[in-house]
Amino acid sequence: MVTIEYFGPSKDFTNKSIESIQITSLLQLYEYLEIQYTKEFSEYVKENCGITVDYEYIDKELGVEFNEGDEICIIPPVSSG
Amino acid sequence: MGQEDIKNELEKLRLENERLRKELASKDSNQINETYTPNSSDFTLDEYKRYGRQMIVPQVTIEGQKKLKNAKVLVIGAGGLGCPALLYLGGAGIGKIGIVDDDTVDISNLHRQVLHTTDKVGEFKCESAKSYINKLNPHVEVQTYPFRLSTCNAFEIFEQYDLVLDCTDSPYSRYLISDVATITKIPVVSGSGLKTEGQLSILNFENKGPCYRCFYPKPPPPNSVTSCKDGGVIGPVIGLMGVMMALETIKVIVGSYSDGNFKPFLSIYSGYEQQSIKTFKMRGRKADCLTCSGQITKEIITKGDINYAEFCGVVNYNVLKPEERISIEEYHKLVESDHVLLDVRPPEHFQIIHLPNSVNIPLDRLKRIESLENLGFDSTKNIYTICRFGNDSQYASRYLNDTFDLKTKDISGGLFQWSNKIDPKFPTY
Repeated sequence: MVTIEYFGPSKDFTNKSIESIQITSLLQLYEYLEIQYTKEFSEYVKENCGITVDYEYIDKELGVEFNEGDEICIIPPVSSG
Repeated sequence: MGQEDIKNELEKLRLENERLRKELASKDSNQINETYTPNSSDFTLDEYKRYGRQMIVPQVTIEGQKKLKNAKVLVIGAGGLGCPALLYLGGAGIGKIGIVDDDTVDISNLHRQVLHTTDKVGEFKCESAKSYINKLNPHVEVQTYPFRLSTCNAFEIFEQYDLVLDCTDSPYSRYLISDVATITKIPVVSGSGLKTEGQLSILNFENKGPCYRCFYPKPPPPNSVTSCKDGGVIGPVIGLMGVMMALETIKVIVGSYSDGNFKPFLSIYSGYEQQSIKTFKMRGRKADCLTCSGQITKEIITKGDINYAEFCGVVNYNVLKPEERISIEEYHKLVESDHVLLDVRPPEHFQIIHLPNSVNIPLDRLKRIESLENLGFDSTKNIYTICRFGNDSQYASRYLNDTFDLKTKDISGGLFQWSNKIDPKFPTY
């Protein structure tokens, strides 16, 4: 299991800020988001959001594997002030 | 003079005599220390006193205070982030502060834009900010730029400053500021906030990055970009972000961060449930970043080769045919007819104010409804959709007409026009 924490506008898609799911890779995360929420959201996370594992940004271009207990965060751009 | 008075007088003279003897003795033995070293060219007596409480903190010291006095800081946006940042930067004794903002003070700003006051409504925000800072600290020079930052003027302004604070509110300005600062080789203290959360980062520190494009290479789709006007924001949330930006600015200027100890970061403040700050580590510049790799240059930007507005996109609100829309005046004539008025704003908006007999289904919920029966109203009647400004209602009508083959119409201009043209007593917010 890994935990996924959603910040800012990404919570508008999920209506929750945190959940635990059974996935082991970044690809599986995109698949999960598409099935559970929408394709639009999955694309948004893939294209526009920062993703961190254990509080460190990952390079989304690389095939990232997750470990048991990883804390994954979805960080969307917020431009307002 | 009575005996008692003479006794008192004698006692007074005795004490004075004692004091003078002591003074003389200490002078003789050279014990008076000349602690006042005349390096007063740096600070006036007022400044010693004014900044004393921060100069005695080991992280600042008098050397740090001199750096603050010699610093030139540019604040872009004198709104929810800019106001609190400016208050503390002005108070802290930054030598020169530039303020860029082409907007004027509106009453809807005042709950969070704390240096503007009710009597400044209608004035330029940068001028309102300047008059406040002048009153707060006469040692700070304030330069105002009451126009919009653009590809034409950005370099000329940035080149006069050591550091820039991004207190703006659109993807357009975020990318422009980051690009120009990176090319000009100055750091950006960047903050943002919406609803109950905020983000904080330092970009292009010591020209080692990362920049805004390293964090967010692709701008978000325009329909996912929410402004404070649409999404709302709680005053203290955006206020905290502005105050945090002021502290990061002080740290950069004083030299608390060095090449060795600076770790690129992005922090997220959450106001709810429990207040918390989480800090995320970023490795540094992205190898393929267009700005950091030098592909975007001053010439390219000033020539207008990058269309920032186009790059960030615009929301297409022309999704309906003319016959699928009616004006507010036309709807006013139909108010008494048998129809359904569908208000597609979020429930918090609906709670503030709505037209009588309207039904509330927020747009995002409406789009998840897959059968006519689940709409919850009589779909055989005439259906009119409405929202705050007449944007979301167009998407609602498009969805309903396409998905269920209905003939709904959206009301152009929404409730804003209802207040403007039909009922001036209907509140706008």
